[in-house]
Amino acid sequence: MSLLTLAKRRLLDPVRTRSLWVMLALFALVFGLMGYLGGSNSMLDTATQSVAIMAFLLPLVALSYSYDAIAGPRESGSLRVLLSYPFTRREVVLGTLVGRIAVVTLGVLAGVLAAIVATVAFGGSLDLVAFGIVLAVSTLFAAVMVAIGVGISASVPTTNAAVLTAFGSYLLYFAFWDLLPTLGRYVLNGFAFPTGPPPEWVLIWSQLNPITAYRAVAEAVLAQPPTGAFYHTVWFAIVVLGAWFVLTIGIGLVRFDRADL
Amino acid sequence: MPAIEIDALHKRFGSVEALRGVDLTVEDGEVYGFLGPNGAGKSTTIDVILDYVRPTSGEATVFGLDATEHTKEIRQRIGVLPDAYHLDGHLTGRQHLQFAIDAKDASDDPGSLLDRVGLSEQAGRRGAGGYSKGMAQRLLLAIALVGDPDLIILDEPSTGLDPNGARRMREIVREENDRGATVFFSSHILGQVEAVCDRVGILDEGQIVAEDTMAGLEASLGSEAQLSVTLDRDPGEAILGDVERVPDVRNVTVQDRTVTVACPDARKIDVLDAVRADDVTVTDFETSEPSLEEMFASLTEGDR
Repeated sequence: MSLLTLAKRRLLDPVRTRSLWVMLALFALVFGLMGYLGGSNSMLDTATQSVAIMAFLLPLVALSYSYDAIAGPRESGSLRVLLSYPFTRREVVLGTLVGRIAVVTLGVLAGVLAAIVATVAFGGSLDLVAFGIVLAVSTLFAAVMVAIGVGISASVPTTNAAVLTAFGSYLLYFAFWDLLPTLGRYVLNGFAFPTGPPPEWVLIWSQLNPITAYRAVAEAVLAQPPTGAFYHTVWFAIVVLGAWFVLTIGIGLVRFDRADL
Repeated sequence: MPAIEIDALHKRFGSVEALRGVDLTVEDGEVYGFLGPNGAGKSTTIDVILDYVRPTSGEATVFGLDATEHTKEIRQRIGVLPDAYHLDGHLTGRQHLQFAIDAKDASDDPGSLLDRVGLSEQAGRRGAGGYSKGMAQRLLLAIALVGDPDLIILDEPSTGLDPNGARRMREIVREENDRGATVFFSSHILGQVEAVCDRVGILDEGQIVAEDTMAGLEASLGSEAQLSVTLDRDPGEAILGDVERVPDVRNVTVQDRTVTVACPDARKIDVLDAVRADDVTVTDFETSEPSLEEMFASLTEGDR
């Protein structure tokens, strides 16, 4: 009950500030454009293309709707009003998580609907099952990215710290993830560039990136499940996504529960 | 069972010791004024009661429930006007109030609560981002009344209120107390507390320096009355001994032609007699009853 009251408020915040419409328009525009290109070019697999766009767009949108969701009210003092009501700190974190997952899910929905409409309108071949898969897997991925953002937001005292950590995470996933093992091997190699094929732990590390895991799950379900090492299976990718969800929101819960607000 | 009980509460923020062993008890059904200068630790104490900060040592209980363990049960039964709050600007006053009603699962009518604190219906429909400090305080007071709480905690409720608003606030405190609610409110201005409180506690530098009923405080002030006697000539130091022999007198000083002494009302004539016995003529005398305000000042500024 308390959880739903809080989740509803955190869902309605972007509606009331009207930022929701901007986000929905962005998703509709991007996926509409993609559907148009797919409709006029039969070589393009729009479902697979949707996954590639989601992998880039969703972390950005999910983090921007979550990094400030707890640190912001904590810094401004609006949390001091909220916590005078019968909510526990845990409920504040989880209610925020649920509400903001709902917000970002609306974006995913808008994107997939726009892609479907545009594909049909511009004469492409429509695979509804594939789009259903994109919708389901992307929603799970959105939930993971919101959990990362809310976890960060609950762990730090100020908006500044939250925005730096969230932006840093985004750069880490997109730019630095695969550089880190190279850097590690460089140091281990006595500050000389390593030669030869990468060892297995580097390959495993690469699959631990939540964005890589999302693409792995989506592509495995859309096309053929890959065969090979355990860390290339779809189950490994699902466990990676689940672990990101549980660990980040868990850290947020614990840190927020211990903090002086 | 006391509404609030605080026992040997310490709170340290880094190297700053905000609370240094606070003990206080707010009895069920009373109006308790929590006084102290800015920075004395009033808000930190309230923040511990509300579980916004965790004690370094010691404990606070509300209705006998540990404040850090039973936050949900406690918050269900209290109404709070916190300090350093912020109202989300994208919600109207009415929406803020409705959210509090939903959160507490209460059945109050937002309109009549707004009316009670003196906010018009029109003001209730406006975004809270445009509220003045006084309007925000009124809205928070309305929020604190949601669900007829057993305990109402008001942290500096008069901040930003005009005289009408401050009077309305005092009336509401009385009405709520008549309904049976305990009211605990903090202020750095004694005048606001004097009119409505059954008991006051005075906090200074993280410790309670006085806790008494209003009548008790006034009685203890009675014994602190100052008597100044002006003489026709400088009596010299010799007079000190004579005056100090009068029972119950304290702080006898002589400066130029004036003898000043702190004594109970009943001893004033004895002091005058003792002075006159020294072969001087009394040209004038005056007594001053220190106000609560002065006592408050002397309690909290004495060692600065």
